[in-house]
Amino acid sequence: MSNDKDSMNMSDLSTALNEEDRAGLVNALKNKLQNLAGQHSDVLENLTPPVRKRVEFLREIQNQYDEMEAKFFEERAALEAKYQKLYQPLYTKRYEIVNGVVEVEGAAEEVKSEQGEDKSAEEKGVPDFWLIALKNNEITAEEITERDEGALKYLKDIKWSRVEEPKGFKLEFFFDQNPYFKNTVLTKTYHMIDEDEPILEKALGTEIEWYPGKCLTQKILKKKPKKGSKNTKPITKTEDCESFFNFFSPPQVPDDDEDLDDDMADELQGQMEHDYDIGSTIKEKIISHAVSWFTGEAVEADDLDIEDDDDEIDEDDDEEDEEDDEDDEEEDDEDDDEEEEADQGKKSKKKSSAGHKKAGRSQLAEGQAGERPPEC
Amino acid sequence: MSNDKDSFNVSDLTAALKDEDRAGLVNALKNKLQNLAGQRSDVLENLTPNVRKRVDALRDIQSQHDELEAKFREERAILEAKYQTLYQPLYVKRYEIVNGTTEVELAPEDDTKVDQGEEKTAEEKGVPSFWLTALKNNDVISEEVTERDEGALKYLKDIKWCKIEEPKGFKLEFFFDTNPYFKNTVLTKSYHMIDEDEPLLEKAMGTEIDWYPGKCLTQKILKKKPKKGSKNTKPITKLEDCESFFNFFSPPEVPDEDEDIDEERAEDLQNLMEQDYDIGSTIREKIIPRAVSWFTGEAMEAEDFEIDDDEEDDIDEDEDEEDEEDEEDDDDEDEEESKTKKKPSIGNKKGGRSQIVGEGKQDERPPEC
Repeated sequence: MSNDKDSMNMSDLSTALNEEDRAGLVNALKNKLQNLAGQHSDVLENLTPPVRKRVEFLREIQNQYDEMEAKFFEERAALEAKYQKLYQPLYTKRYEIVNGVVEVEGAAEEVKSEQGEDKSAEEKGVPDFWLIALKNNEITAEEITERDEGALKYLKDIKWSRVEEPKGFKLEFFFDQNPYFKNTVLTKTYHMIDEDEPILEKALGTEIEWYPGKCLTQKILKKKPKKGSKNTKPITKTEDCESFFNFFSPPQVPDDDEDLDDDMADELQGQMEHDYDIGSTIKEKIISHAVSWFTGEAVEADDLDIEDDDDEIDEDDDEEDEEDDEDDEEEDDEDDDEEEEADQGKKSKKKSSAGHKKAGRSQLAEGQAGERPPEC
Repeated sequence: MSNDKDSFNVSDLTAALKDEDRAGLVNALKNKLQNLAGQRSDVLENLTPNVRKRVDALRDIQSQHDELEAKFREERAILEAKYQTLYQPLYVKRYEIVNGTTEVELAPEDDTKVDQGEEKTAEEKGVPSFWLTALKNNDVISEEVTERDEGALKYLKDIKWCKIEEPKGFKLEFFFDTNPYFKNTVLTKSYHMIDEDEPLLEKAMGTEIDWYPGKCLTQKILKKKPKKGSKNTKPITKLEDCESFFNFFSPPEVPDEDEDIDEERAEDLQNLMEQDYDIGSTIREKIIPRAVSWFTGEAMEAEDFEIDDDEEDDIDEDEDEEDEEDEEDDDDEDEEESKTKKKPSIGNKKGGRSQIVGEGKQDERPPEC
């Protein structure tokens, strides 16, 4: 049994690409395939006939397993689709309330008791709902600059759906008419290589049609000409800058004929993973628990692993009562801390692990810092 | 809306732990909770009464969503358990064939008729070195297996995984025949997760291995001859940790509260834990369900070139080698184009992996035996 690794390595790929020779690439692939085929053949050829027979039998068992697994994938996908369908009416209701399409019962009543406040009555839905939700999540908050906030106020819904061919998922960001760009929907699509693993093949985003002078992913620098210079016009320069909206221009794998060295590959890999992390966060956390991120409850849950059951607390209208409730909660927490050392130890243990997770994330952020354009 | 981040950060933790003062840690946690509560209160208090009403309605909707989600998770867990149950008979059959507990039907006939003289062949049971070969054919695992490990891994006769409910996670079990290296018949690795839906690791634990004297594969013995003329005439013996697959059963651990951690060390530890989890996940998700495909090398091909499993499995291999070669040539021609397109993405994936493997591991691992 040879111990050498047959997997395609970067230097092979670099060599092939450096030559800008497709034939070279094809030859490299052919050689690799032959090596693999050779190894495949070697394993079976080195077996005695009875062992060979047993391996063949094992392969038949494997086929049976694979058939069952395919059915499992099918059933699981059907189950997921069933529940996504059940969630949709709830998402629709949320959209209607957030955007003032439908008024909740209590609020209408408020209009009666506060007839004098015209301004209040005119305010629709829940302003800045999605902006605040995104800013309360650590991962998406890092992407949002102050300049972005004006545009994100117009964000009125976010949806996700599965994409079948090729397999993956799509995020849709719905915007009201706004002074920044013409698009009403910005889309981000992820194409995956494998059904069961989050290995990204490609990411695509909508091209944003910015209005003149409104582009948030670039900033305009003006320099005054030196005194005495013939040229009296200011020099204008456009420079890329950080923005949430860079999310819609994801890093791309270069074409075959483009050169790619190891360092560049590593950097690109890091960027793609970071981009996928943002997309997954929006899909799996923001969309399904938007109001919890809006109020900040989800921040607490994420950091301290508080059970989601807290959502079941019914809050009274009376602010004074609410304060009492919160005081009670704090007191309860204190009692827990003081009386039960076991809980304390457990919490500390979890904290350590969570801390390390964040350390890892910070590292990614550092990498990003090196690569990103300057802050606007 | 304040933009400051309320998340717990490492320096807070470090400060609390440096004090070696639990009260300090409690205070830090209390302050953090109060800040969070304050922020939460701020959002709601800044809303006009009407908007407040709407947010409350949204929270009711969220509760309904959460109930549905809980049902979904329940149903999904049931579905997963159902299929694990269906897979078990296949795993049992595999075990029996690999270990010679059950003989396949055709083999005796072939032996008797064709190879009547070869008694030695008939005595060979099952599929020797099955799991060792399967593990070595996987990129992630083969990096852990050293030459010294192979002797012990020949005795590996099964690997199983199952879910753990309290605390949530999963367990891997490695079953060994009686062997000259260690007394244990089962080596276990457990992973405890923080969250149900996300692979956030809280803790990993492994069986303590009862090595026989002088057989420990995670350490090597160095002997130095004393200098000539020295009074001491005995050779100096020194134990040194070394690379071994069996280090998998001594996973990196989060230190106790009273131990100091700096940021750099925290990052190192984080990387080691992620790497360890990657190995465990690979065994659970790839090796166990498709052991024979890894044994023969088919899985390796599939992994590198995204060949569909259907394609490989459907091909009936003739014993005639010439025919087999022809089939493989056909595969080459058909897939030339799709390979070229897919390669760049896979290349980048490997680039990332190289980074983790090459740089992280080299610094942290003990020297090669």
